Amino acid sequence: MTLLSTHATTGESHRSWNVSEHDQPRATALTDTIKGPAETAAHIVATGSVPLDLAARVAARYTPDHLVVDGMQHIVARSRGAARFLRGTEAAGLVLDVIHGHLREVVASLLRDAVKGRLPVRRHCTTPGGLALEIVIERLPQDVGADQFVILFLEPPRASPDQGLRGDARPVARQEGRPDAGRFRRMTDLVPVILFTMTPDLVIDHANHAFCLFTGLTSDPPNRLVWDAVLHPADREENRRLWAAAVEAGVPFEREHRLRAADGSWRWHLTRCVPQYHEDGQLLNWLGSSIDIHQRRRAEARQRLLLTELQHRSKNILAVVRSLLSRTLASSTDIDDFAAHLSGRISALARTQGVMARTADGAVGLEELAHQEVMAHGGQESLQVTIEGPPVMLTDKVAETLGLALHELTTNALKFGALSAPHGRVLLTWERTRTRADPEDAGPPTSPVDARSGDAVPVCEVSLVWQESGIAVSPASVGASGFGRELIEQGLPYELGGQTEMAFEPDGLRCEIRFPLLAERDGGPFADFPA
Amino acid sequence: MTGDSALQPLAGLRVLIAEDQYMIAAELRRLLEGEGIVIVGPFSTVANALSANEEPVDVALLDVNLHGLAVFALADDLSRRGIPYGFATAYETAALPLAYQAVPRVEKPVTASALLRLLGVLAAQKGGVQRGAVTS
Repeated sequence: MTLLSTHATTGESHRSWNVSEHDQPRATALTDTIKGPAETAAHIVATGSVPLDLAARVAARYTPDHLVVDGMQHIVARSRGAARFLRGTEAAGLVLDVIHGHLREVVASLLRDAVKGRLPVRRHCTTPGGLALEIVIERLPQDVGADQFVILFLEPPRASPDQGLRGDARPVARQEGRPDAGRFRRMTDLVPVILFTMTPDLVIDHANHAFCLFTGLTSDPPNRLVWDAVLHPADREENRRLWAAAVEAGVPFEREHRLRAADGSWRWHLTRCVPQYHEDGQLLNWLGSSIDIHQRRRAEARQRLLLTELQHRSKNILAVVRSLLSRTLASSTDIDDFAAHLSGRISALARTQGVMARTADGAVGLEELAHQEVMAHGGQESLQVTIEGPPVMLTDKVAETLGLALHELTTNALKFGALSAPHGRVLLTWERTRTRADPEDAGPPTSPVDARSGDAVPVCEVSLVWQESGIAVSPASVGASGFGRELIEQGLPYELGGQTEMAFEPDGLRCEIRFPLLAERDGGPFADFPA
Repeated sequence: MTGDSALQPLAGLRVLIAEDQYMIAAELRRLLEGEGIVIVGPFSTVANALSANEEPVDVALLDVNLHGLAVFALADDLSRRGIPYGFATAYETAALPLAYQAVPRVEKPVTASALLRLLGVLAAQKGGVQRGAVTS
């Protein structure tokens, strides 16, 4: 479809307002596609004369759509098909008032040129529907209409059946009954993308194999399907609104929405539809495609959630740091003491964050957390510290507080306790104990979520013991850090919902921390609430 | 600091606090008790706060995310009881579910002046009458 050939054909034929000599052989050759009595075709061949109604139909097909305007630019006549270039049902009036918005500027500039007398004037343009047009303005011959102009809408040649639907928005002849229609359908069935056609009232009248495979609906023989059968209820209203706008403007429809799969699940699709027109300007049908974009939508949603949580966590950790600061300030004797304690505590928080960042889901292993804290203070595990326990994964907030508590225990041991002397020892051990809610327990299975509050109920309990030995406890070591004690004796029970016990036994400090381990939830804290 | 809470005198106001982090809860308690405010809680879980719903409360200050769970079950319960509440959260308003985006909030890290202003607004919503009994 080169525009060159367009000019060659239409440039000659549009000068005559009836079937020209030039066109007549083609008209005869193509009569088999015109649905009329067989005798009519024979009549043309036999007599060379053309009945009036047939002449009009042939003229409609082989002359370009046009408007005739007078010197004042009022429309005085138009071809039937030209209605599609006008807004709504308006057929008369100032041409610039009634022509489609997307053509107004081109026509206005052409009319300005026409008035200056440089005729004919022509300009190429494309409609939003993808239709390539050349608009030509000529003066009508004096014997046809004095001081009148004709505005011609020239289109590239129609797609031949062999070209199938290559030109998506151009007028095409009906496909039914053609031998190529079967071939075309077989081709659409090969494509792993949903393809369909819809009638002007938006009923799916043909769908390819991918459509049937996805929806579990059949289209052979073609089912007449309305969109509501496959469209997610929450997307229907917006869909209707966008369709109305697309139909009104005659432009392609494009939207992301959820379609129902054969198994009843919903998957996000990108649907695009383009209108196709009859040569008389009437809407023939819509060609549509839907591509599965579910993975992309999920990835986007996950990214949004992660971003939100990231912002939340960074501000939240600053809030914790601020609380640490004011608490440390309250219990510091001087500025050096304050700086040392605060810096140590912020470092402990940073280490926990570092462990969190290394795991994909932000969970923290208790063993790694314990190693981090002890190693950070130069404690050598093999010599003085033993860390032992089964794998336990902690949520971020639990890890944060427990990390801080282990930091306080370690610094206290380094200053006053078992790590202040070479023969001192620390044994850090923990075990998991089952609770009633554990599924392996006897009794009816319980939901991992509390019905009223939505709180997770514990799946097991962790019992952790920090035992120092090898040194004589001096009264000075008892409660050396008011903050450490407060955090362990009040902070941990408050946050973890467990119990703690600190005791100063004959050869060192013993601290026991018991807390329930809660089941993790997916999808962020607001997963159950509409966004 | 009382100068910030010009709307309503806050001394004697009974404020329920839901906040899962001890450090922050303890700081809030120190700050508010310094203003003569009576703390109900603080509670670190929705369940704990709900189980204490016999206690008289004027207004509530809620962290939105309590150990990975939304506080909205508690918020809805407070609404039913006619208790105004605000959020103290690090979440942007747009990150909250639509139904809770209009809830007054202070952003973490919370400043004392913003917090007292919020409590003043909530106390005004509640009206001075009911808590007159507590202050007198």
